Amino acid sequence: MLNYFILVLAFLALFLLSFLPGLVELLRAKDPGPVSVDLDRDIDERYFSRAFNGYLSNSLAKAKPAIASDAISLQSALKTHNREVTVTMNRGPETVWIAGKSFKISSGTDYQHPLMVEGDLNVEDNAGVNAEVRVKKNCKTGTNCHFVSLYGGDIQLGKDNLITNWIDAEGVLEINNGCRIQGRATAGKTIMINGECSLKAMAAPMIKVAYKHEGLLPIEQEFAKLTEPQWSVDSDKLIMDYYNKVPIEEIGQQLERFLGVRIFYSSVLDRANQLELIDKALVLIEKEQKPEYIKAKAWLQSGEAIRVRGKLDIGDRKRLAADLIIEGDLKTGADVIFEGAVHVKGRADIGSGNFFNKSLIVKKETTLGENCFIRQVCDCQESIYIKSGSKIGTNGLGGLSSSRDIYIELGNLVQGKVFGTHEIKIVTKI
Amino acid sequence: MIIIGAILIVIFIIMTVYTARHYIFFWNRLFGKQRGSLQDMAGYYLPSVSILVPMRNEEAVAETILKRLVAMDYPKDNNQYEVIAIDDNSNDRTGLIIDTFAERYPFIKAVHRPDGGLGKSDALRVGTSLASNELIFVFDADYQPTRACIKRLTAPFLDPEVGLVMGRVIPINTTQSLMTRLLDLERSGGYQVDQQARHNLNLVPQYGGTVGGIRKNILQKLGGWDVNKLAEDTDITIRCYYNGWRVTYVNIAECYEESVLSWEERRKQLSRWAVGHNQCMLSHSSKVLKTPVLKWWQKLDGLLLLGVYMVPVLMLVGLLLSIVVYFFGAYWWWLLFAALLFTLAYNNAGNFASFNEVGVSVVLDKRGRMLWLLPWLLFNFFANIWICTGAFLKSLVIHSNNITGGGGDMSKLDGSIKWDKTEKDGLYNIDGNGSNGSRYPKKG
Repeated sequence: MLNYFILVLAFLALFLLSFLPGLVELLRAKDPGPVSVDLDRDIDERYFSRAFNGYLSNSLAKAKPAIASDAISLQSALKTHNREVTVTMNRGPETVWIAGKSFKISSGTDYQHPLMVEGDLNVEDNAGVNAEVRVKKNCKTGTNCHFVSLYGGDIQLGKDNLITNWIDAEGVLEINNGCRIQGRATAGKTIMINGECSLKAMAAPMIKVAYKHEGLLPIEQEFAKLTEPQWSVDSDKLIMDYYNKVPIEEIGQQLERFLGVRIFYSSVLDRANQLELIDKALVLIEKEQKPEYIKAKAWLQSGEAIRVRGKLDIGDRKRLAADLIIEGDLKTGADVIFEGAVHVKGRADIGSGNFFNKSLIVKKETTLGENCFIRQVCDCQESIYIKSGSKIGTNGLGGLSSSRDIYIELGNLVQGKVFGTHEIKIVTKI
Repeated sequence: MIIIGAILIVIFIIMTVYTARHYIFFWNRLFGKQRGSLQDMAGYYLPSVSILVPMRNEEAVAETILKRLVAMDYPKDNNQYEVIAIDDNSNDRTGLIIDTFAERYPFIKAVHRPDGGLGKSDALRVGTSLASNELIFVFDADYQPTRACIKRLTAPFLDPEVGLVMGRVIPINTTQSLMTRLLDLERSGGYQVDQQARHNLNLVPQYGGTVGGIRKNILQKLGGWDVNKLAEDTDITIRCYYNGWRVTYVNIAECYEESVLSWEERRKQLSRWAVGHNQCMLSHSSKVLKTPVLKWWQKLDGLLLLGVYMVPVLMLVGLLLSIVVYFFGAYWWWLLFAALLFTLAYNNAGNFASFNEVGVSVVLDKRGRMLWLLPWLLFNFFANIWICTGAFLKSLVIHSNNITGGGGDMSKLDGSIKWDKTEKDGLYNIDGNGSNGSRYPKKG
């Protein structure tokens, strides 16, 4: 009997022991608060540079004059209105060099301290700063320069530059051939990429990916072909008069003569859709009847989307009016129009001149042919390959995202954001 | 005795499946591939949204939620963003607070329902009929969303397969009592691990009735909110699921909530959830099994989700039968089942999210000392067995008598199965001054 009693006591002791740490935490709480959440934090693609600028500004208010102890003295290097201060950065006390006016970093120079320039910054070839740089006005770098982080008004990166963290421009950020940006590239207005390079992510209302060299039109003219035409009351009237009466191509040719810019097939349909000219009857028919090009089993899901159980192969110049959920691969011919959003559980091989009025969401690899237009977002859980002439996003909203790599040929336009979990590679030819 | 043994074996198998499921979830959350929910594009897709806030006697918290929705980082021009604040037959100052905000902000619509008070789903039904936008989001009155919450919750709707989306709920009043600390643990496990893992594995994360949204078209095509269900959230989740619409969880769309403070409030809340959930289980299980759009493992997960409030009941039955078997059992292996059942009970049924899930969530949230409280969840475990068993019996009465009305007709039963509103004190609002600091005069 005593044995059982001891056994019960031992069990109870061990059982109650498991509650002891909890009791200690209740009596002397060290972790009593809720999961920490910043209720007021926004989504801000330029968060890193804004946070850095804010932090630096706050720190400078409390800064002390620094004791010069470096091999390269700022005074001897700059010879202008300059000073050195010690500020408390988030990694500890740090000497920040401040150039009161415009400033030049000579070729071959390698600075080790954060640098603030009140005017313009000009960096000669093979120079760099192994810390953050803040430029109040504009910044231009030579070939083979390197920085940790760089912020400025307009920034022009020369060839083969290396940014190991982030780069952010208030206005235009121009990136030239051979640059490697291992973090985010962001701009308040435009990012212009002029050659092969690699990045992690980029975000700006306008991202122009093109090639600028002899033999091609100036970059702005190149992109005039891709950007949205300036529609007018007269051009709208022309579309309304001829839509459904003459072929789309013919309307496009008339508009080209009328507006004096190149008009894409998809642009005409896009505008027709905005003018609510898309044939509603056709939309209904396509929703209620299975189109002949859908070979696999398909049905209308809750009256909202067509679900195709298998692969889908669509020929040239078809138009799909509803949202699509495709459980296999998607392959399209030229000039196919998707009025709704598209979800593909397999691969997507998109032909040239396709138009997506909403989004394209793909599970496996995605190849986008030439001159396509995706109004919203193209997202892929594997790599995306974008051939030249395509346009993604509208009015600064939309973009590209991939859980792996994104390959973009020169000659594309994105409005919004491009994010590759591994890397974004700008290439001449896929 | 043979029948008892057979029941025991069936319960053991069900418990084993649930346990395996929890272990798969926590393993996935720790070591598996974490699937995004188009969050890289959050803020780059801004469809028009209507936000429904049903309120009944919420004067303590109404001002806070409306302030948070006013501060939301979302374009508010051109009717792109509208807040529909529903005063559901309140007899306190809730209506006055709503009217004040509606006068000041054109995107806030005040809706008064003097004939309301029939439950949340009924208030949502009315709110939805007034909503003019593409997506409908729901926030309970005691919630405090982050400024980016709506942008984060709209991003998954870029995918046409997504019908429903759910964000993360985080208790804010953790310091108030042992109950709130334990509920904090439970919530962490449920969201940080369970919901995220189900999202990762392409199963069914549950829309929790708040901090979430649905496409208005789909909601209408599926028949709208079912006012006959006490758990309109589970109901719409499962209806979306077996109709082919994916439910997506967004862990980063965070929202603070006030947890209940007392065991009695907890009993009422859990009882309502369990009755509602069991209603859904009884009416939707066969549809989940028959649907052609789900794979077999997705159907299994749907059934396991529907049956989750049955786990404590089965556990109680199993434990009682184990005792019977121990004293009267004819075969030694029955004892083995009984012993295993007790082991699984500890591992599996605590708060419906197994203890390992809660532990992992605390680690992921970097709150190590909270782990010390893990054994204290045992109290919740026993409370859940008691409450859920009672709720199960009520569900059977409701189902067998075909009682309808989300709190209206149901209240005729005995007054305890009606819509039990959870009381909140509003002490943890964004201003930190609670309802006592309100500038609205007392009604009457």
